[in-house]
Amino acid sequence: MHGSYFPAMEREDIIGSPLFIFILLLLCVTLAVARWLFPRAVSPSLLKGFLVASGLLTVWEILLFLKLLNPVLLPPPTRVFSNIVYLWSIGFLQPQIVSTLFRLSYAFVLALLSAVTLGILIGYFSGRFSSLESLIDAARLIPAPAWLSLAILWFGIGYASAIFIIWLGCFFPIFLNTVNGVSKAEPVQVETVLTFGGDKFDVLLEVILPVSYHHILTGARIGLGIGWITVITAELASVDIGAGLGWMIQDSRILLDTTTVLSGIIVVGMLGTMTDLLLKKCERFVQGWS
Amino acid sequence: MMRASVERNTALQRADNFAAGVSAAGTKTIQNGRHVIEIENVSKSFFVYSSNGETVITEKKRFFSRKKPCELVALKDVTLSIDHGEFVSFLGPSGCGKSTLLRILAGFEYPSSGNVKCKGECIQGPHPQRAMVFQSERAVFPWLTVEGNISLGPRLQGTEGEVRKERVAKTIELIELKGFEKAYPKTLSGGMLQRVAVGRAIVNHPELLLMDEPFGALDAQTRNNLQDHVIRIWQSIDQSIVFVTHDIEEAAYLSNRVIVFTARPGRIREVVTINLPHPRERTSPEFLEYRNHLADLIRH
Ligand SMILES: Nc1ncnc2c1ncn2[C@@H]1O[C@H](COP(=O)(O)OP(=O)(O)OP(=O)(O)O)[C@@H](O)[C@H]1O
Ligand SMILES: [Mg+2]
Repeated sequence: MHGSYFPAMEREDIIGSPLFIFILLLLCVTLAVARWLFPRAVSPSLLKGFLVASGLLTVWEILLFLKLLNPVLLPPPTRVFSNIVYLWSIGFLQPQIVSTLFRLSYAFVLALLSAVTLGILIGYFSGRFSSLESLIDAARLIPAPAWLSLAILWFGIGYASAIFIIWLGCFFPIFLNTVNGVSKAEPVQVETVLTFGGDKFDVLLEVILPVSYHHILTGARIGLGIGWITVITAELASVDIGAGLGWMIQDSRILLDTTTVLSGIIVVGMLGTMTDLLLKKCERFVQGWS
Repeated sequence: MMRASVERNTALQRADNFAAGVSAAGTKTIQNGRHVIEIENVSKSFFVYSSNGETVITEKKRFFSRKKPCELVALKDVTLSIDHGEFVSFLGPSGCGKSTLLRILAGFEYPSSGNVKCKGECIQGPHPQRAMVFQSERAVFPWLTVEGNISLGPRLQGTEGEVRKERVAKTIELIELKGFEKAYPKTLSGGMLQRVAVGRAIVNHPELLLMDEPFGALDAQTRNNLQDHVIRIWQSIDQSIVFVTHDIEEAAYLSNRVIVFTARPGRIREVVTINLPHPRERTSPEFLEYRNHLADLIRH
């Protein structure tokens, strides 16, 4: 099944090394000029990051251009880049991305809902649940993939097992941060709502949620990071075979297709950054802090 | 017995002297005998458990404790009534139970014995008709603007659109924070924050305003300004204020009546009626006389 999908290992590169390096240089210059012209639009950290990344890519490309490294073990950026474009153009990459993102977001949303609900409940009545703390701490320290075998026994090979361990990976950071956030609501703030005629539900909406929002968001960002680790681990371990970036990486490794392995890694990196940025944007919804 | 007679005496005194007070307050009318609050024989104790160098003070007795708790009596046999439109201050040494009594009036805590009635009905939990102004600056929500903070009460009450807007705008005018509607608390000074706290409490026109050392953390100049502010607000709206303070001058400057408490257990030592028209002169001999009298009471 694999062979029919997978492109041959020796593929035409879309661009050669000199052109690649030239384009990088051109982009750097454009960005620098853009920063000079519109200081608002281009942040210095973006410019610096881009410069450093371009430098590293150039060194990597040159090392392979001069045949100082074995291209079978470490293919040059041009080839990885061409491969990503190629895999996309034949429609092979998209289903992997979709299936990984779907697994991750499914489990992440489940984790967010369950962890925030439970966290608020336990944070609200924290005194009464203090005995649970050591239990939660122990559970938190078990890496989610350690549950893999058990998950497979419980849910079988397939979707449910993957979702389960990804959920587990996301759950604890969100949960613990929520509990912590809820505890930051001060009695005087709760009493303020009560003295103006609010009930417990108003306290939740007017105080608990705004106070813990940033903590929940921090938890969500950490949880998403662990979620990425778990989803790729699950796919590498073939918990749910036949789709996903992790599966693509693992399957190409078996075929010694390091180009596709690297392509997968880079796509995961880009998607991870994008999802994190998305969560970071949510910070703006509640203002007035610090 | 003793306390009861003190109560009656002061009530008579007030009846005698009221003409002066009312005219001085302008539109303000204090309705004698129409009680907003009746406090009857209220006592409040906490239970102190100490073990392993740790001391825990709880409200309820613990059922499963081997240790016998020692009882901490915060308030003892307090009897007092507050008339409609009055400005009453609680004055007393630290730890004498002023805040505790105020929190009982707000409905956050319940007396261990005795009754507290608001307009004839026993107080059962917080009620928007008894709005509290907290001392802590954190009571003003940092995630809401000035406007958002002030409209909290109407929002919780379900007051709708136009009425709410109008009330909030009026209140902001009253606390002289026009132009700061959209500012977040972190950009305001301590005095402005405290005005927001006051505004938030008066926007719903509560029957009773409860203030727990609202200006305790401010510098003298700001505090004097805010005191005048509170007097103006009190004169312009139809409500009573209970004001907790440990500042003798503040109590003498603001109130119709000062309730002086003894040190723990807190009892009413004396009720002093301040018979001076507003605005009061801090340096006038009458004022100083009241102040010295209060200071004497506190000292012993
Ligand atoms: N929630 C509580 N739990 C346990 N003990 C309390 C509680 N609230 C008050 N107390 C005790 O009751 C006593 C009176 O406290 P309260 O806060 O009423 O004093 P206060 O007169 O307001 O003093 P201050 O002027 O310092 O604010 C104190 O000894 C305190 O330890
Ligand atoms: Mg106090």
